[in-house]
Amino acid sequence: MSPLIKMALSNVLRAPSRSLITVLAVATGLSALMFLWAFSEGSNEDMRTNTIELMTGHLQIVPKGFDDRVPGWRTVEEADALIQKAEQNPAVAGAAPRVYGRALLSTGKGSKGVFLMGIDVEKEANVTRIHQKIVDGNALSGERREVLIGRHLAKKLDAGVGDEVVAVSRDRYGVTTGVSCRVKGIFKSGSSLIDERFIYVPIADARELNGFETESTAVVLKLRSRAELPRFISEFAGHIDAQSAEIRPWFVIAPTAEQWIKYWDDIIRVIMIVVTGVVAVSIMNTVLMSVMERTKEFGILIAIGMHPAAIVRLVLLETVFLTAAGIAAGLALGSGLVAYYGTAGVSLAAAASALETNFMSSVVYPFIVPQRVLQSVGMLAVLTVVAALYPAHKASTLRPIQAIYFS
Amino acid sequence: MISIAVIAAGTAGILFFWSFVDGLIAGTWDKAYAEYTGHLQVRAKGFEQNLSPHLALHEDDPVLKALNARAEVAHTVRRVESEAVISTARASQTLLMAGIDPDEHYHRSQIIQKIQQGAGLDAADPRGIVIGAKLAERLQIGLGGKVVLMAQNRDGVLSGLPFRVKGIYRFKSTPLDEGSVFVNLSAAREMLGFGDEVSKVTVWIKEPRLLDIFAASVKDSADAGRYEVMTPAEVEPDFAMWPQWYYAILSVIAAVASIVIAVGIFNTFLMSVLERVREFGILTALGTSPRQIVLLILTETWMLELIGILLGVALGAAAVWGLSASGIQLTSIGEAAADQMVETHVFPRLDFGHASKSISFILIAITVSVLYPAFKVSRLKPLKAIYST
Repeated sequence: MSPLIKMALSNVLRAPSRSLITVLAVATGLSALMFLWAFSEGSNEDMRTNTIELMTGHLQIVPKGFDDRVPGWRTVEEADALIQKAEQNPAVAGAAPRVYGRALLSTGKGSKGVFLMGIDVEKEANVTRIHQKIVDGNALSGERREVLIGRHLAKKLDAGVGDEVVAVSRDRYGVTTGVSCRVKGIFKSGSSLIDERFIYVPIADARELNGFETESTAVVLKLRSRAELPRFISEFAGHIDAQSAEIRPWFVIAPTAEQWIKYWDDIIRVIMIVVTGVVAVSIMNTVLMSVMERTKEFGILIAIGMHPAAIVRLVLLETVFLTAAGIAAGLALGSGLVAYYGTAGVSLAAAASALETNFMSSVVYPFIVPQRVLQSVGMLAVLTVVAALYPAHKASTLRPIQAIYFS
Repeated sequence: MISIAVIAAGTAGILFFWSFVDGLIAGTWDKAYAEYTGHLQVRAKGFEQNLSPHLALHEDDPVLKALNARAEVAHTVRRVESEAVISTARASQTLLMAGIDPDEHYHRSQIIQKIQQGAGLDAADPRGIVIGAKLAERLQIGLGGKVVLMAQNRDGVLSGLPFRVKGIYRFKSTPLDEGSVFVNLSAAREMLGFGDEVSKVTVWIKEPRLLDIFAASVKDSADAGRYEVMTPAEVEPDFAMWPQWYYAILSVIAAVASIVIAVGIFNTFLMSVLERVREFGILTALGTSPRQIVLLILTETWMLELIGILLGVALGAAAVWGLSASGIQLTSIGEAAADQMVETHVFPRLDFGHASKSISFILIAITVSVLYPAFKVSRLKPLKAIYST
């Protein structure tokens, strides 16, 4: 070990409270940045997961050029065969047929235009979680003539569990069709749009309304992991007739989530610039101070013949040791915090009602994005060294006498 | 110097943070007030549930008259609204028809600004209609194109009128760009079989900050059995939740940032006291009592604090002021999210409540951080203190 390193180490250990303060400053700063980035990423991820699990699945196979706002009566060919093929694929967790449509839903009290979701009750449960979102009554049982409606719609139509409602539509031949269903359950999906404008009926009833026999509008797939999406799409494309159908990943079906996340990231970025600035100033100050208060010591070192350049190196080495210790402690603390809250969640109970209207949960589970951690570590390392260099350089250029009597 | 820098940076950081957040939320609300809801809406009871043509108020209704006479009111806008079906030769769609007076505030300040092609409504041209860009695209219709609006009138009869597209606007909001059209008040009245009735009156007040008080007093004066008086949060309940959402997430961030600032302050003051142990030892040796030393340190700290906070406020206010003219442009949000009514151009603004809370937080953090080392130093034996370094 070179004598300089030895000296730096012993200097660090000689003044434990001073060293501790610097380590503490770096550690708090780093763990705070880590936690904040993890928190923000956690809230974004939450929105993605909810969109996928409540509405879109990971991907859907739909008629080519399908516009879900104008469902029409187009269908995917050989949906059942596609589902079978998908189910055999090891990447797929679930596959279900859906029939989309539009209907006018009426009670004695009023009527409202709604989007119709005809679902295969058993298969849909492998793909989305609407059956877990019932706040009153029960999920669809698989029997016909049942309907799930959202809480906002229930309020608007003044309909409760067990009430009879009538869905009227026009089938593919232009004939007016209608089915009378009993409200089986009322759901609270996490999206105010879905709670107000969507109803879920057994797929057979939706087919009757649309004038279908056994056709389906779309096939919804859930994969075992979202990471497999690109690979799966290119692999499964071979099974699909490109002339008549197309595969749509969830973010094409529901672009709002990603756009919203992008917008939110911009807000977070402005805020993080401010927070990072404050962290930087607080760390720089601590380092600056801990070097400046030793001006006298450096003066003595120069007086006994130490080269000024060696002093700068000495301070640099000390700072590197302290920063390394601080970063290690910060990483440990930050990972600990994120790990703890990643399981326990950060509760935003105060805004629960607000969050639940936009596919957000009121509990955020932070998780670490390695890239952000690297950025933060790199930035802090550079900052502390810069902060230490300035006073060290200044001290090394002083005349010994001046430095010794400086304070 | 360094202590001052840390206080100033902390203060400026917190101030800017809250200004940004407050600017974001206020900007979002302002957009909503201006484009959608106004500050208060007065309508006949039940209109919220059902846009029935039977639910209308006479223009000389005493409540409306009283409202117009109030000093707080900047302007009021009359509207006739109904669900209607719009048809072209190619397609038809249901939407919200709004009959407005083109000489009134909303048309002059909002619709005219958002017209991309053609012109706004004109009272002299009762068969003109302005529609959103998205609707125009869906109906495949351009300027001068003919459309027919149909709605149920007061007698329950479906009545229709032909219109010619005068202008195409883009609010960047799906409900307005795709789900609404604007026609002249007189034309809407003709369709619905109205005389001088209006569906609702929207009020803009001079001081939006006093909205809560104003809304409460209007609600008190209007018979709840006959009128519904709605604040923006009641008109757009989903939208009213955004501020809550912002605050929920941002207060977590603020809490973490505050801890960092507190630790920074604690570090700085701990160090600045500890490096002067020797000096305090000499003071003690000269007979200064521990209490006097604590007081001395506190007084010094408060002086530094005062300068630091003043500097921080100046710095933070300068940053806010500098950016409040040009604003901070966030990525413009995509079309699909446009109906969320968010603001992408944030103008930070200082809020007195948040500023004073931030400053008190810093004051407390500093006093607490300095008390511990001051107390410790004052208790040291003089000899030990003098030879401690």
